[in-house]
Amino acid sequence: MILAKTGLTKIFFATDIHGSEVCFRKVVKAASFYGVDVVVLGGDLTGKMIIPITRLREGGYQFYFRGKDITLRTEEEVNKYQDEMKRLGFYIHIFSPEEGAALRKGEEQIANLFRKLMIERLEEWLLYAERETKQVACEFYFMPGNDDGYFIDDVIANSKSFLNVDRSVRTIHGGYEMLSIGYSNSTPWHTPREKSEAEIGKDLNFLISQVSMMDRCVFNIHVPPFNSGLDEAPALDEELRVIYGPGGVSTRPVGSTAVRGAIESYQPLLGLFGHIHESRGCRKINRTFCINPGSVYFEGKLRGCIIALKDGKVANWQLVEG
Amino acid sequence: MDKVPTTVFLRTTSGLVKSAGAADVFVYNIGVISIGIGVSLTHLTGPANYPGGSIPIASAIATLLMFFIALAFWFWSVAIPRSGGLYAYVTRGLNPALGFALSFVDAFAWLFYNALAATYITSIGFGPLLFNIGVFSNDAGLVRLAQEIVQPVPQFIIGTVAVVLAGILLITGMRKFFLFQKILFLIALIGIITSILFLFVRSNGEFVANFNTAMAPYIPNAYDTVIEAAKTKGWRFSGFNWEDTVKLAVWPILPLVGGIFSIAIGGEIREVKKSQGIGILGSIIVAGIVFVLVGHLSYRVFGTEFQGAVAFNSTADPTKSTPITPFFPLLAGILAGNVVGSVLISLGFLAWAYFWIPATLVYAERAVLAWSLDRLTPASFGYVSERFHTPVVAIVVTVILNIAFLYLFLFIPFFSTLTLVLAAMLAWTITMVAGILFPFRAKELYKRSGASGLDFQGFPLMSVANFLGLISVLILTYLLWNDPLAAGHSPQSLLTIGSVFGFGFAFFYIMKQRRKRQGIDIALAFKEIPVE
Repeated sequence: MILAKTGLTKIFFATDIHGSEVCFRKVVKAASFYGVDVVVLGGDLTGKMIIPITRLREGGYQFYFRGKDITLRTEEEVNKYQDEMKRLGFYIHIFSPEEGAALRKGEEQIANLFRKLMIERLEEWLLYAERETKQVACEFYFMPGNDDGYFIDDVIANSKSFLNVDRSVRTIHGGYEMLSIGYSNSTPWHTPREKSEAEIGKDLNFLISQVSMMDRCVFNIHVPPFNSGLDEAPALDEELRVIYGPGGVSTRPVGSTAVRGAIESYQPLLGLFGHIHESRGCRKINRTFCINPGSVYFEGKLRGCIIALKDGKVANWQLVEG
Repeated sequence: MDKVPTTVFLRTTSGLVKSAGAADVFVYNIGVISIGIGVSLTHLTGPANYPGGSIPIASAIATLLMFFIALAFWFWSVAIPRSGGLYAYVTRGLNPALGFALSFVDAFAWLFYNALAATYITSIGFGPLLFNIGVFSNDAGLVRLAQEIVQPVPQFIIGTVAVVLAGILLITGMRKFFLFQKILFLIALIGIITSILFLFVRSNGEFVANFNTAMAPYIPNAYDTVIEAAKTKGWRFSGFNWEDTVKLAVWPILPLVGGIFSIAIGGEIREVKKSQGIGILGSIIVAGIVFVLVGHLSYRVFGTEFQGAVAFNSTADPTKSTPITPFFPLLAGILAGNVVGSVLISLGFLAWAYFWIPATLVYAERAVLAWSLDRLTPASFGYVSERFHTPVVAIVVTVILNIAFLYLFLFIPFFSTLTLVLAAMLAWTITMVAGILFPFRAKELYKRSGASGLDFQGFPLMSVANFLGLISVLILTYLLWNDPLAAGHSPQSLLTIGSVFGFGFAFFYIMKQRRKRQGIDIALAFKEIPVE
């Protein structure tokens, strides 16, 4: 293996874009905009909400958006809203009042609709990425996160521009290695990709056994290490309501103890994390530089970080919001 | 027309919550306003130096001016819901170098005023507390102690302890800070309500009797003697006039400035539109109402002429004034006429005085942290403690600066006459201009922000609010510029402001070059990735 001992490897990392079209496009454009060698898009690619738009019998459209009931006359007017909704990560589905009534009756129908819309959007994204990255000399990696159903794996497997690196160890630009895991530890929401700490530990050990140089290894793991300050999330009660104390929202560390243990034991060069949107920041755990760029995808802004690696060290880093 | 259910479909995914709510923001801002300091300063300086001014009317004018400024900042906080205050606004909305320089001078100015707040711990808090307990319990030792602790050395020691404790509180985390603020707010609220109650139930005759008794060891027939002495020294109560009233408005407006300080923690606030609305606009309106009410009642009970005379004498003829500066809590404590009442009032004002210190440290610390995250300061400034998850270095830096300013203010004459409030006015003026232009210059950013949802007939109300804010800031700047007591435009103050502003600019470009050599383009932190 040839190591880029004197060269600089620049990585752009962003995560948790949750269906936001503009954020995905920004991830693709980040390669040339920031002049990086590697783009890594962490987990949670898919969105959280569908905005149903009802096509009224007498003409016109009706939907609920940003706390308001909105009625529009023409499809053109609706399209303007659709762009905004896609930007924010929402899915849109237009249907008749009858279809709407039928859909609202069953959870399974809604789940199927989510699945269909998620697949459609991912396919659109991948086509866009393929078109836009042809002339770009950059490596693109992504992986699903805990909020992404397993059904998207088949879709992203077809990507010609982005490589799904979930549960793998890959050699990337500069001869660095990247160990990736997209799922998280248990959450109160029981999201699609969760594992117990023991299972995470087991998987990590398996992947770590494939790493040849830990001091040149990047851990690209969706869930941050426990109690690292990159994993502070609101504490919830049994009914998933945020707990408020006299000092405001109660928070607690929700990261993975297995991930923390692996970092402390093996001390890789760099750790890229996401999952907890509000815990934007960077920390050092022993010799490992850990970073969570956070996410404000719902504002259509892409939070990310640029990390420059040189001679097996983190030469520099920068948090950006573009 | 069909009646269709309008709703959305949500799936279960992990969520995002920001920490501070409307109540937290309100308490934070009203803490920085510090009703106690506002009342104390206005009542000490107003009647003495603007004899024809009316405190209630001046307070109403101040509230109106500050309301427009606050409205402009509220729009900013909705358009760019980020921590770091006007640093985030101007760097993203106008120009990064200008944003940094303004933020630098703004943080510098408020840290300097925080040093002043540290002296109020003794002059508005402990001094009146000990004096009144001493008077009502006939303990001469306590009265002497009250006189001693308002001297520079004890003020420095107590102020330093207060600032260090505030720093320790902040290091332990924002939740503890917000909890502490709420407890302080409760104590402060009890103090101001007790004051208002005594002002309601007591008459001028009762105050005169209490004052004469309390002051008997120092001045016989004190109430009338104080007024006569002031007149002998040239002070005159001239009756109401508008000119003095407008001039007097700078005093209540200076504390009201604190009502916008939650812009520093904008990224940590949930439901920004509502919470910042209640926090920013609500705190200013509530404080304004209290200022008007206390002003009106104190004229009735203390007497307009007496308030001016006793404050005037405290500098012109100290032997014909109270043994310690006659700040409002001292007079209100005397009015109470008993230990319990005066202790409640004094503790309340002590709480108001202390409120300012950690909250202003947060304001400056958040700016330092934002600079660090954008790589404009050494990385160590952004170091976050693994134990407490707070930016320890940024907090320690602001604490050290604050203590240094306290020392300079108390012991170096050049700094004791320095007024840096014009620095904040400069920063605000540019922020307001940026706010007028923001919907047109940063169209995409504005369109996607919550502020665009408030457009009227397609016209950005953010521009209108910032225009009104700009007019208010210019009026305030004019008043401050021409008032040597509140600010003035002494060469040393203007030179200091210019130097700090220039240093901010120079520092930005030095760091930019330094980072460039390290392979970091600082400008990238402020640029949006074009996608079309």
